[in-house]
Amino acid sequence: MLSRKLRLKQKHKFMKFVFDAIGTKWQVDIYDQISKNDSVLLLEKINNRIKKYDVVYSRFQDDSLVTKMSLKKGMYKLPDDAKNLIEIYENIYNLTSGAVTPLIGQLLVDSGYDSKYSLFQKRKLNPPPMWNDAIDYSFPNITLKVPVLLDFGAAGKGYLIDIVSKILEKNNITSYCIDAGGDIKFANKNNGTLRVGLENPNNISQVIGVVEIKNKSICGSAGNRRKWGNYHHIFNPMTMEPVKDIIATWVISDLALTADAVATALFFVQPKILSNDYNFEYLVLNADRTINISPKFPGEIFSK
Amino acid sequence: MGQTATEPKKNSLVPGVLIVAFIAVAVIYYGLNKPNGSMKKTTSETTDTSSAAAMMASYKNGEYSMVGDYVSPGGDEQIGVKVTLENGVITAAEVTPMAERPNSVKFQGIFAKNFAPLIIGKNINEVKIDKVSGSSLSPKGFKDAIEKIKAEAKT
Repeated sequence: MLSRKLRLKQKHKFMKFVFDAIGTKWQVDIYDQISKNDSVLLLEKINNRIKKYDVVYSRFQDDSLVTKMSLKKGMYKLPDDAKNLIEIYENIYNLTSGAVTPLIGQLLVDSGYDSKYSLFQKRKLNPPPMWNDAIDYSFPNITLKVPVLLDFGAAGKGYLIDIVSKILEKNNITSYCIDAGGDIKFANKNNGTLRVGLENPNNISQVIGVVEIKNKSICGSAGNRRKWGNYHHIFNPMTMEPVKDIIATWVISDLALTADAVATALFFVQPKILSNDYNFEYLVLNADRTINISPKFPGEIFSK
Repeated sequence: MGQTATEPKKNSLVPGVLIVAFIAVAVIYYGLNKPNGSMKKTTSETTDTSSAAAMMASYKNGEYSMVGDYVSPGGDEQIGVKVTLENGVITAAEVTPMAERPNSVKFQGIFAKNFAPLIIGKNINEVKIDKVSGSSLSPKGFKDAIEKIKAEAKT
């Protein structure tokens, strides 16, 4: 109800930025009053920051740092902001016994998920190297013991959402919604909540439930939209197969980084493995259309 | 020491009642057997026992497994039920068929498969929402590539 009020009030007022970045569509809604001039400056700041992110982390760019790192082992200096990203990756790597790993880049490329989207398996698939055999991170440097293609697809988007939210807050924006292809962060200093539908992976014109969030992030993960051959992009490097028994996960947390990383990890481990280290609510949709849901998941799920 | 806090009593009886209810539903739903009311608890993680007045008090988080007995037209049968409690809410439940007679095996199997609620979708325009969260929208390049492959596959 509150969300409706918010929408009615600001439907024609709020500023909306729409752009493509890191392979998906972004929409940033700003509910605070902001002048046209300021909004142009703000959008420019966001775009510049995203470009800076891509130059380091995108394996889809030939001139990015991760592309360069894939060609030659050695020590590389990462930007300071890499710390939070690498640390959550390392922890989730350990908690999932290596199932969630940034070292999966080559495996994704070999299976066809490459920068040219060839979508054909190129060669026999090899499991990714173990973390300790391949990388050593000691702020601010990362040492590659072997040339390896890093992929930050599991948590990078959530991380970038947090970065964008920080830019907004630094510019005195207190009420906003950042939607990066369905991963969402919503902040509101007033009473409004955001009603988020959970896309039905079997039919994208439907939702399987609705959650209400405020000052939280929600990230979803599912294999349905990026499928090719026998593959989709959620791949278990232990079994060398895409995950089949779980078809979608959603996670609500303060940080989009946490929500994104945990949403991926839930394809591989039980929620309780992760809940000691992270605060989150979750919904796991199994392939047989049953669910696992956290007791305080703030929403309604449709069932028969 | 100050006053002795009256801790919420943990009660292993109530999950038991829930499970009896599950089984009763199972049995009644498939209409072939009569529950005889004798429920035997074989395993449970809770240890405290107290009066039933502590109903709805908080239960210890954990997995509770039980085996229920009932009499089928062919004789005694058992069925296993496991529920997971988190903060007083059942977050997962699983039925393990344990029947020996072919008919009971069949019906317990059907029950085990169907008793968990199945998730359904509702059309987006029937539901009041501001945003949709799901798999990330595919990048344009990815979609183009799929289209290309489809086109090639046709020729």
